[in-house]
Amino acid sequence: MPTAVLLVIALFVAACGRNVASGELQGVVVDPPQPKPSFTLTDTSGEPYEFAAETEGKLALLYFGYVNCPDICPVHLAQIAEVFDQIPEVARDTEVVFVSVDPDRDSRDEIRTFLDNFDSRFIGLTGTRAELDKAQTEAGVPPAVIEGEGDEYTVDHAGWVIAYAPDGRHHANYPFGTRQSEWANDLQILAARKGGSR
Amino acid sequence: MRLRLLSGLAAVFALLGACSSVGAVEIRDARIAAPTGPNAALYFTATGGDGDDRLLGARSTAASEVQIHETTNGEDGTVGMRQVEGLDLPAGGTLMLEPGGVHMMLIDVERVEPGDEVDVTLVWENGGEWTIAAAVVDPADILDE
Repeated sequence: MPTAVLLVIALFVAACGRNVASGELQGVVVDPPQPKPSFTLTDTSGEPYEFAAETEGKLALLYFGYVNCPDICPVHLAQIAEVFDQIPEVARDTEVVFVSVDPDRDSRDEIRTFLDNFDSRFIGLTGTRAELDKAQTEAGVPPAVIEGEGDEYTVDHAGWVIAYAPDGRHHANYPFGTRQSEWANDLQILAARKGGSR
Repeated sequence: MRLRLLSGLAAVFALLGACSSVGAVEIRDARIAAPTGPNAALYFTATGGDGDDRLLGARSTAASEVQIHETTNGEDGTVGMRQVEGLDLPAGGTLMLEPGGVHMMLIDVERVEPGDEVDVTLVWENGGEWTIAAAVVDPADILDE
């Protein structure tokens, strides 16, 4: 293939792959924005973590997953960590909250070790099944369903990341497949949505 | 004459190795998301050969077991995972193992890092067993690889 054609293709692919900050959210927009959920769980150091209070005035990304999840969960978290490196000024005021929906298998230590693969600032939460179900319901996601025993088990859980802007409202969701460029775009927009504005 | 034959054979084997193509089935983009827990996912694209075949499973010295899994998407947006018995690869067809879809799961995988390579032996119903080398990549980049 002629070099010029290859170059054109390469440029086209590059253009498609990178949405420069467009001013518009690339995630699944929640319109109108919804209130932040109210729930308290336990963080990886064993302390209570009241989600609404701890994330007040910050950009918050909430995700329900489990440690033993090799396909979806690590990609979301690794992408966010990578984008944090690109926009440290946004990362500083962003709280990433990973809630393990698998309390029988994921100990606090295991959750901490898992999250440290990505970014040691990421918050890990756990709780009883009842507490976790309540947190998921409050956050508007279907509570995870765990079936099976021993090593043979499945966890069906919400596959998207929920984003709350510093104004305390739920503005967008990020399904699996969101690209780093879309994260970078949206985190900058969401970080600027402070109290009183959308 | 013999030397020429040997060097010709060597070239053929080098070619086979380069594209991980054995028995006319071809594997491309074999990659493993660097493990962040006990398991890691392997993805690749397989192109079928002259005859139908079926991927029955795999094994690797880097994992205690390799299973075929599928990430399922519920109508309510939930995701889950199911073990799959085998994957059909029709003659000339394509089989994509990709993030968020069908993948192979390396159970109790060694702590490999991005930049490493892991040998995985694929077991086929008709095509026998042969080994591919999968590149370990950062999960942050897996969708863009």
